[in-house]
Amino acid sequence: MRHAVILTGLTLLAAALPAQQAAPEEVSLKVVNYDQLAETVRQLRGKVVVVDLWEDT
Amino acid sequence: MPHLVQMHKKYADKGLAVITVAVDDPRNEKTKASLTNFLKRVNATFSNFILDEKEAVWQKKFGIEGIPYIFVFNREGKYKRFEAGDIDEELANVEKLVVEWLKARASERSKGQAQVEIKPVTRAGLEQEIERHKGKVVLLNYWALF
Repeated sequence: MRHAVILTGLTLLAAALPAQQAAPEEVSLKVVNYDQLAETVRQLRGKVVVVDLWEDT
Repeated sequence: MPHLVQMHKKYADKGLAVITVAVDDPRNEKTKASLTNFLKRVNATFSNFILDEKEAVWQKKFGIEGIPYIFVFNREGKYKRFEAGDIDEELANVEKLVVEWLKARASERSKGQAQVEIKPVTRAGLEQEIERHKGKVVLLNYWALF
């Protein structure tokens, strides 16, 4: 069940920014919620995507 | 993070995208500045996000209890996750998988297979998709098999 939840969530993750999104030329930090992140990843389908979860504190 | 920057430089033109997601408090300007400074220092010129969700929420959605974690998605959206306990060891495993999945596409291309996807969408989702193309002329085709 837990894996199903994860899979559902991360399948949604596989649905977000433009699929052929070019990497930003400058370094930036954007605030997003989970759904926006999921949409970003989904839009990158067709690429191999590494998502790194980290924190400063 | 520097390892991911190198990995991105090495494989971006082969089809790799890197996204970083900080789970710090997005309302803490000092933290945001610290994150941004760090990302600039390592020249992280990919998509960098800070997640605006409560800890309990993102832990549940990601199905994890803490960080760091790395998720690697293949070209079809299937993923494998790595708990970066020993960061150097795990990053080596991440790169190994990235290379493997990038090569998988190369073999598919050689067969001339097109990547086609069809997915259910709500009206809101459709509107969001159209919004994403603002600035372009968008042709929307409603169709059915009958």
